[in-house]
Amino acid sequence: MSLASLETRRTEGGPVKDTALKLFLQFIARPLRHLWLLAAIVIAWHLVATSKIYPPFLLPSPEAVVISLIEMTQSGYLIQNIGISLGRQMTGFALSVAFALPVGVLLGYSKTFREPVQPILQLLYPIPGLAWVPLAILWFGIGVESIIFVIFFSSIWPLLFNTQAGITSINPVYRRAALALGTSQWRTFTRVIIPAALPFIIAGLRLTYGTSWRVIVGAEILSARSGLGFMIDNARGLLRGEEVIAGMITIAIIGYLFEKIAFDLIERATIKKWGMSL
Amino acid sequence: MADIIIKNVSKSFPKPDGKGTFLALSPTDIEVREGEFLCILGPSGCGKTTLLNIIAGFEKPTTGEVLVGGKPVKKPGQERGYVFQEYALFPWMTVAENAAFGLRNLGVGVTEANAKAAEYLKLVGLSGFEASYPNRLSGGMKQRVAIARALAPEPDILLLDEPFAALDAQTRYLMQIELLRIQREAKKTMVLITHSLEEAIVLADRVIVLSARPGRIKLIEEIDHPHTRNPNDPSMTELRYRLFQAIADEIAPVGAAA
Repeated sequence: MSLASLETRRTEGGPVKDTALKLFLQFIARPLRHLWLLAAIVIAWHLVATSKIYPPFLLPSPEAVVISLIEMTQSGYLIQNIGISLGRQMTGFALSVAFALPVGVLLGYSKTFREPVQPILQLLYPIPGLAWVPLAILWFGIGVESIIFVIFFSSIWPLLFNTQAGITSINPVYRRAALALGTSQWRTFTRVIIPAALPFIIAGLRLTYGTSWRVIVGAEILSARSGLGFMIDNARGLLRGEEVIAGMITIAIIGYLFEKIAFDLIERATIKKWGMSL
Repeated sequence: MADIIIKNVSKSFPKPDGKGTFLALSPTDIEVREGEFLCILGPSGCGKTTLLNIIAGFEKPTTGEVLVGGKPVKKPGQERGYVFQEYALFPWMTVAENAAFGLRNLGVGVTEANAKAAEYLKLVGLSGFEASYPNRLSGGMKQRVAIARALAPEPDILLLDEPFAALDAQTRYLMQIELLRIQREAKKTMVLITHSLEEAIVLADRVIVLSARPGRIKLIEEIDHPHTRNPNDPSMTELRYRLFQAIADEIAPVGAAA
């Protein structure tokens, strides 16, 4: 015991408690320190917009955008469309994960599976997400099904290939340690292979999540009558530039916050705690 | 029974250019007695880790076979614990989960496995760290956990591949003394690979020196038992000299060519 405590580096402290204040500091207050450049851009935008070089429907002022944001929030229009888009994204993301995670694991794990399947995936991969839209509309019409179809084919890739890379790049010493300890194949898989691949898997989940959000807005512009993508396209048709920009700002903030908070929390509960961050 | 008989074991590997093979380990015969602490000493690339991996069942010999307790080794087994140079602890498991993992594989229940793991963590001097994750531990502590993990399923044999190579000199000496104590308390047969002749003198009942590639037995030294376990003790001078000379001969041609 005395020897062990001599060797202790720094084991005190324990896991940090996640208080609301900490979350606020980490995700909102601290990043704001570096927002002076953004502030400068907004001021320049304001100056150009108020100089009336461009008509307001092409370049609305920042104030008009903020007012539009407030009005759309108060009327419930913005919240409703955020909800619709998030719901579609979550469905598409869940389907993507349900497909890409097991298939990625199999790609990494089994040569018999990889050899016929990988070429097909490599042929599908270069097709951009939005190029699936016409086919989706043909098959499913305009609506939720098409959008989810498009999200799926756009967002499976990072998780699929990251999971495969995670499985194939596992330090072989972990497999050997499992072998020497008489671990069954199933337990090796669940207790050794998957956790060892987790840094890659989480990075893949993050990218797949981000892609699904970016694609949904595009898909909604082409194939929906609701949601944030539809909202900004509709505002474009009505020549409401301030609504278009307000919608885009909403898309940016929602995407950033959800990805950042959800995945930073997952990482802190797993690979950060274990010292396995990539 | 826990003796190890290595019969005519050799190992060839494919050459990096794919043309033919090269011999890493010449046909070798060694008998490790039950309860013995055997150190295999040799320069880098002499095939000593290969030999240990063959005993462990990680690799198959090109010729010959290894018998453990009279039975030929086909694959890794829980009667042979293995301690890796790079610790190979599972970072996603706590110290206790790591130490209990082998027992859980045997189907031992959680409570019982944890109690047993705690015993072995105590044996290696790590009580109180059960809930820590390995990344919170120093190198020496990690290797203690790895030793506890290997010992917990109660193997007859412990195979150690340069387990203390990454530790500083003081920690290394402390760990060597601990390992000796553990061997006495747990009564294991131990085979330890090292390139350090001091380590061999501290630990071994018998030292086998392997030549440079292809590895073959160059020298066998029985060390009187009990001995001082102090590599700098005057009574060790001659042994130290012979071991040093055996290794120096092997690395000299490389030095001379440079």
